[in-house]
Amino acid sequence: MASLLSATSAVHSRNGQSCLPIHSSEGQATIPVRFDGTNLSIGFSTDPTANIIDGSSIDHGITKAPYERSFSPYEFNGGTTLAISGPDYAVVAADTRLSSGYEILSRNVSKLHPLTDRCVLGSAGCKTDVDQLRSVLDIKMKVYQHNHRKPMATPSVAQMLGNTLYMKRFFPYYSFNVLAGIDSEGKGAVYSYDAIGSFERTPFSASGSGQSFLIPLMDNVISHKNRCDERRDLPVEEVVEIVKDAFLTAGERDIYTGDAVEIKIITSEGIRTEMFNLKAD
Amino acid sequence: LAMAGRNSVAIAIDSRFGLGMQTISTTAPSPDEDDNNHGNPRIILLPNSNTLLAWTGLYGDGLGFADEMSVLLASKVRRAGGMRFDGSTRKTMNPRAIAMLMSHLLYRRRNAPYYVEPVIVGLETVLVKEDGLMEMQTTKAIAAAATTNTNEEESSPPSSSKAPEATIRYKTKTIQRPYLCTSDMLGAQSTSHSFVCSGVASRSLHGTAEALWRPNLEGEELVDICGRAFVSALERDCYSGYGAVVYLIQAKETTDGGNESDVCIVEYCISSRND
Repeated sequence: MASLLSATSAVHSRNGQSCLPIHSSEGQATIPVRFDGTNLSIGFSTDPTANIIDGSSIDHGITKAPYERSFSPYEFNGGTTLAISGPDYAVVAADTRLSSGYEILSRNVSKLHPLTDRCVLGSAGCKTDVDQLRSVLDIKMKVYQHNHRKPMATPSVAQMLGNTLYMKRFFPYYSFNVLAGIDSEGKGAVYSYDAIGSFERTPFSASGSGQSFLIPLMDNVISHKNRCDERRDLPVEEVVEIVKDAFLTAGERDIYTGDAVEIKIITSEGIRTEMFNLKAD
Repeated sequence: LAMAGRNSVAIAIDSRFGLGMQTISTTAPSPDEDDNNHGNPRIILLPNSNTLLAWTGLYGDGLGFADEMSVLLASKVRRAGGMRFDGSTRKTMNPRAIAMLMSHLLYRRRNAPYYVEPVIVGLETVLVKEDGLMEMQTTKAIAAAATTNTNEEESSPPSSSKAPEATIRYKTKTIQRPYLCTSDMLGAQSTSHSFVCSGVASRSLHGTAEALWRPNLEGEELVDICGRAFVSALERDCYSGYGAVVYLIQAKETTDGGNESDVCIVEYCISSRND
């Protein structure tokens, strides 16, 4: 917690009671909290006559408060993905770090998955859900290839991914996706998704733990918002440099982003891959 | 969002006073008749001619914090000699000292804090060494010490030898160095040489400012970069916006280095979406 102000925004509700999450190596645990006006204290809000643990000690009674354990089927493995579309290319990039809590599990895990040779899926979130989603999509692509005797076009892949995510509406895939590719007219296409399949074609898309660092920057540099100088079409080499700068920024300020960036550039000729090193801290 | 330049600092502040999703006000009555800005509902304190103090958080606590800060600053200024009308320059308070005062005030309310996260920007007057113009008398002193040492007995301890001290002289100058500081609501400071930010959109601000800042920005270029980073980040946040104003604190270049009286503060109103 950076400050008390941000700690109050980390409070979430579990079964109707406010609680603070604890980072514990044994799994999810929470402390029920109550914030009253005069004394930030820990106590049970449902039973007002119970002993309220005195909030005036330096740890606000955290070490005395009982905490509850519950099993959560989801885990956040971190990471950031970014995709930018151009007139005849699409660039998609993702960092290669896998984390759990405050620990790094691997520095060399890919978050990008080519679905056809004109289309790449980047996903951040819970790795197991991402892997399962990819398997399901791969199978569906094979079936399509067998039925229609041609590979799937990018807008169709986008719709299929949206449908696949919505089929699990009531126990979602914890996967924040971006889809980048070349559409049937040869133009670059980027689609942004939420966890349950709502999608839209956008000029750029960022998702994962570093998305709030990257999206406003892309607004200014790619969509050219709030600028007085003239807009010009960006060539693919410049966009790749912008992507590297963006990941340097996210790597500085986000603990889950770092180690290396895998950049895939998709044109009508095919997919080209580049690696770029980031700070390992 | 506050950014540092070569001998200037800029701070950008938005104009929204709201309560969660509801916007209460985006303007405030201003004492100037011809103020096109129609006043900013956010309070900005001017403790000194070279320091600005602004904050985000609960408005009511901000008012209380502003009052306490003003009273303490006024009493310190008075104790330091206060207003002088005889033309002599009054010693201005260092922004670092104002930040210490702010931290103390916030920590005084440790058990029931002021729900504000302040940002202090300023220019501090420092004495620095000028490069390349250095006169050393060490070689002479070392040679003299060597001759006296050989004359003394070996058993005498070195601390008792009366070797002349080496004197090194440097040329110095005073400069106005940028100072940026932000604090959490309990007074824990965080300083930076590049930028600091505070508020609900702080993640977005960290992203844009980190990418757009570069060293040795000056004057209007600094205002442009600061304003651009600020407005881009705010457009993605619904709890901030409705206008932005950037204050540039700039030290004029003078031949004798910096002096507190050579600092000026300029206000720039940035046009942005009104939502």
